[in-house]
Amino acid sequence: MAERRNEPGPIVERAIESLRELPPIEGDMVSRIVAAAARSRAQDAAPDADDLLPALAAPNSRYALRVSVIAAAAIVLVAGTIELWRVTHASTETTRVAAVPQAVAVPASRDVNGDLTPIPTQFVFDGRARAVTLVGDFNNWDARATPLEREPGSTLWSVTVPIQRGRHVYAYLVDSVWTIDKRAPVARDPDFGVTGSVILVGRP
Amino acid sequence: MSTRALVVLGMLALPLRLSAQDARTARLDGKLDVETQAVVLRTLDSARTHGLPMEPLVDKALEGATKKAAGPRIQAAVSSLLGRLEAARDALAPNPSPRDITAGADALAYGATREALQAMRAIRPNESVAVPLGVLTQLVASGVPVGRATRVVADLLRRGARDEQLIALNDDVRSYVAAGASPEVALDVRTRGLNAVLPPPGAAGVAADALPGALTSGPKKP
Repeated sequence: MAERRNEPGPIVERAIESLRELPPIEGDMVSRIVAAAARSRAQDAAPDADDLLPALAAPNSRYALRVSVIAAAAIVLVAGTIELWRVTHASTETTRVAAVPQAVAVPASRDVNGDLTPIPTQFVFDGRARAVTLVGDFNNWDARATPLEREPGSTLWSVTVPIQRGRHVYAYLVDSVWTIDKRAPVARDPDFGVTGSVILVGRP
Repeated sequence: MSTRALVVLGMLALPLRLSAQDARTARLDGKLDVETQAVVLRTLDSARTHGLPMEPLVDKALEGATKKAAGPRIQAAVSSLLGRLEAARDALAPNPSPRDITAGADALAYGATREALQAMRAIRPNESVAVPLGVLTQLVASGVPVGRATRVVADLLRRGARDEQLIALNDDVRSYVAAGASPEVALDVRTRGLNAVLPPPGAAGVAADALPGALTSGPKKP
């Protein structure tokens, strides 16, 4: 959400919109400004006020001033926003890497099997119930995160969730009652004494 | 862009970075009692200090909360997992992913040895071993002795078995055991079937002498 808020797009659009609201440009205004800039560049020096002033002193000089100010503001805003986006994006990456043991950190790209690519995995429960949800080590054991949907006219409930490869423990909450998947291996639980079900996820 | 502007933008970005780091621990808010949350947060700090993944620890605490476990039990479970994560990280060095470390910690909880984890890493130095370790864990859970399960999985990996083949083998073993076969016999039968379609040892993987010696010291097949 933070990244979306920092995207440069909306600011650029606002700058363009502001420019569009200006009155039509008059005659040779642009060519006079460009010519003054070219002369100063040829002299390898900052634009001379003597060169620019005649251009800005034209009948629509306030227009040129507004264009310059808005353009400068737009450039600063866009550059700043892009920089901010890069900084915050880099922060996110750093945080992710920091979760990996620093002495043994390895980029995900070194895993040719795509270790970090979640694999869509379907869970199916068969039974009468008012509500069925899925809890497991892949959804923070959150009873509200992953509800199953009932197939109309049947007792089959299902949901498909992306899960990383490997062994995962899960259970269903059937009308808020802890229920293991009868078709799956049982996961013993020496920590809390509440068995769950096991699924091994590999590449499809 | 000037240095001053970069500094200003960096300061603006700092809260976003901090909020990203705190996102993990924020998930614990309201799920644990005050004392348990304090202990878990200290454990997370310890994990961060030692370069261990914090996510599995948060998950373990949340699992306990969802299972309505008492606070002291959650504290003990998280603390125990921290030790296993560290052991797994060391055994799977030099480049385990967080997922590998978690799988290694699970395998250790079921009785797998550090040497078994080292063996998997030796055979797959640059690939994930999360699935092989998960299969090893499940084979042991099915009743296959740890040493035997370790040798079989390592041998299949050395022959180039893919993750999905290992998962299929585990599923079949479980089916045979459910039908009444002994776990070891079920594993023998299914391994022979898989060996028939895999290249011989050494042709697809790491030479056997690259494996830790302890791998071959388990109970022998009768």
